[in-house]
Amino acid sequence: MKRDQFTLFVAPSVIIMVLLMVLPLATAIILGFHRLTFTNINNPEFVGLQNYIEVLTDSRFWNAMGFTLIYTAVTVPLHIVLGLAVALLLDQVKYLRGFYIAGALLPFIVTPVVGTLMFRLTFERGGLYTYLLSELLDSRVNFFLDGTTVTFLVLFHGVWYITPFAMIVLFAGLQTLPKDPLEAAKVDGATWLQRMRHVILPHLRSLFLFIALISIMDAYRVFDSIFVLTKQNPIYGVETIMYYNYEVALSFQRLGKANAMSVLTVIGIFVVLIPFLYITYRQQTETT
Amino acid sequence: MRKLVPFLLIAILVLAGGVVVSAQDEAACNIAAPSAATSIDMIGWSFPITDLYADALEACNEVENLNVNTQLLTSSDAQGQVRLALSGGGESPFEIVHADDGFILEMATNGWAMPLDDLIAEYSEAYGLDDIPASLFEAATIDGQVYGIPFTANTMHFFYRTDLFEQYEIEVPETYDDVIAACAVLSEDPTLILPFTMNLHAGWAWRTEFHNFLGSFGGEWLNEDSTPAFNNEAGVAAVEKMLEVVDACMGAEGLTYSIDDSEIGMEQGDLAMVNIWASRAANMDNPDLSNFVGIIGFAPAPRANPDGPFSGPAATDFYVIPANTPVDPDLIFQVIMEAVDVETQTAAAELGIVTRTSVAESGVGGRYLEAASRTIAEGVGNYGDDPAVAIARVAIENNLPRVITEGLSPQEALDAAAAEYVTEATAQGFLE
Repeated sequence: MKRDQFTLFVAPSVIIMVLLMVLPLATAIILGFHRLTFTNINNPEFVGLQNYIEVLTDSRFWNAMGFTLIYTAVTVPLHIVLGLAVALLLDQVKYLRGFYIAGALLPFIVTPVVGTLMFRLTFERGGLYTYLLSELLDSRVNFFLDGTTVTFLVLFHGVWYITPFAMIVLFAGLQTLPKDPLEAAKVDGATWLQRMRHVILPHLRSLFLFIALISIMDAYRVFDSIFVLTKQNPIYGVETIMYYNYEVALSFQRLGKANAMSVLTVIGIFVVLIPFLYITYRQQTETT
Repeated sequence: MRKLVPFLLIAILVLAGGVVVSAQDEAACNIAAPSAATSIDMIGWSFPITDLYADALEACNEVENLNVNTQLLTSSDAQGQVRLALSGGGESPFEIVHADDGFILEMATNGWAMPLDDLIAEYSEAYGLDDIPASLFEAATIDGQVYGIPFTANTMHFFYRTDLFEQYEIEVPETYDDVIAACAVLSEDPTLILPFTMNLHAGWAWRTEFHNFLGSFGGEWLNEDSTPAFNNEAGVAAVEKMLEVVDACMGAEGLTYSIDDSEIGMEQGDLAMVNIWASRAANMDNPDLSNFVGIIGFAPAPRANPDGPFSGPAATDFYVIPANTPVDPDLIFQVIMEAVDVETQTAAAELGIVTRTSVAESGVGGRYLEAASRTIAEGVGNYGDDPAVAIARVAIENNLPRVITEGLSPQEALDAAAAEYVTEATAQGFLE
């Protein structure tokens, strides 16, 4: 393909990426160097690195970062394992497979805020699961009592919401699994665990990496579940970077500081993703 | 018989015409249709009376070429949306903004709101605006110009279960010390989850209650030179009293109760007492929502300081027209007028405090009116007219909850808020 043709083909997506990703990021970087509020939005004041220093010395930012990392470390491996388990089960189903897939996908395809609201309502004081658990334990259950229970709900919701994504990707991967190596392994007397370890998991390796990449980026950006489940109550101490960023921008009205925080968050995501990007690059160069 | 048929037909036509004519006479929105298709978008927050007013605004959809849309969020979300939309200075996406007295001050100070003096003068007679007391326009009057039409007043006052008070022989509390004493008795009741809640479920909720308690101790938000006054002895006393109430009556669980949770708690019998907005009182007597219709009593807000005013604000909500609206302000104003007419306010009086004197004095309205009116008249009032107080409010929202989340002392939390306020107010030119 000639260079001109190549440029013509990639130009539309490059233009869209520049408009929707590069320009906003550049704007955020520039605005991060300014004191910006809703009252001086057309006339921001240049303050150099003051916003960045303020973010990096803000204990609440580091607490939010810590919770974001915990959220990522818990939900990503858990949903991959659960997604694989459900995909393997679905692969065994012969009848009404489409029905089960549709049901399993529901948490993922419902609008996140709506799904989180529905999730919250079932665990509210008068919610279904709260009632059932209270009856089962014969004592009053309150999932919104303190930070511990709310943290559990946030993590539970995170896994519940994203597992269908892993499930459908891995299920699709299982459909491309060649039957011959599996049959050969069975003939050779391999156990289920051995077939998993030596045939199925290696086949799905690249998909695990893909899911992990996407999920880590999603986990870093989580906002809806925090906003809906905590109802902005500070006593829970459950904050992610994105949620604290929202608070700084819209509640505290410190737009410059919020921009600085966004930029630092992007840098943070890159740092976390570097190992995965390196592995992906290695895999691609190995196959070529 | 055949000779009767034409007369019958004429009679039917006359009756049908009469129905149509009378339907037109009783139209919900009596304004002239705009010459071109026009959309009027309103943004505000939802509680029973504002929901009714929103329906009244949308009644103008029957007018040809006019499309009225209302969007009711939470108050913090609605105000955030308005800030985002108007701060850039471009065309406003909203034609009508619901603003409380604090937000209207912010809007007017930042040039986001349109002065309405000319429109008020033009339409005063047609819509009977003299029926709304001048005092209610005060909070919307900045630098001598009026920026909003008051459509409801509000306050926070005391709701209580009369049956439990009778059972345990408890007098209606007049001070928060009385509330604490009542909590000690009612916390033993097995039917209750908590004896009392006030709203401390978010930073802005802490700020609202701090205002109520601060005023009761005679404190002010700012000095005359806009330096912080809220971190003085009165401020510390206010926070200490708030924490005393939290310890005695609410505990950790009480801090998770939002306004909705408190309202539902009273309606379902989980709570014995609350101090919440008067606009929620009407639902206490709604059989679709409440299990205690007619059983919930209302009293003025308790005094945080026994010698001070009631710990309840005097809040007024307004409809504001953004300064940069592309739609004819005359048309927008008329739509607002249609929503705050006597008929609508008469219906609204069942749900909240209305602003028209004729309606307020006609006897309609809920059982809570006396308690709410006394709280407004003898309470702590609103935030004042210093535009810098908006910065102080944010500083308190950010820092006051730290007395719980980080174990700061009241003085430490208030001093942190004062420091944050000074930094921001200096940057914005309110302080030198």
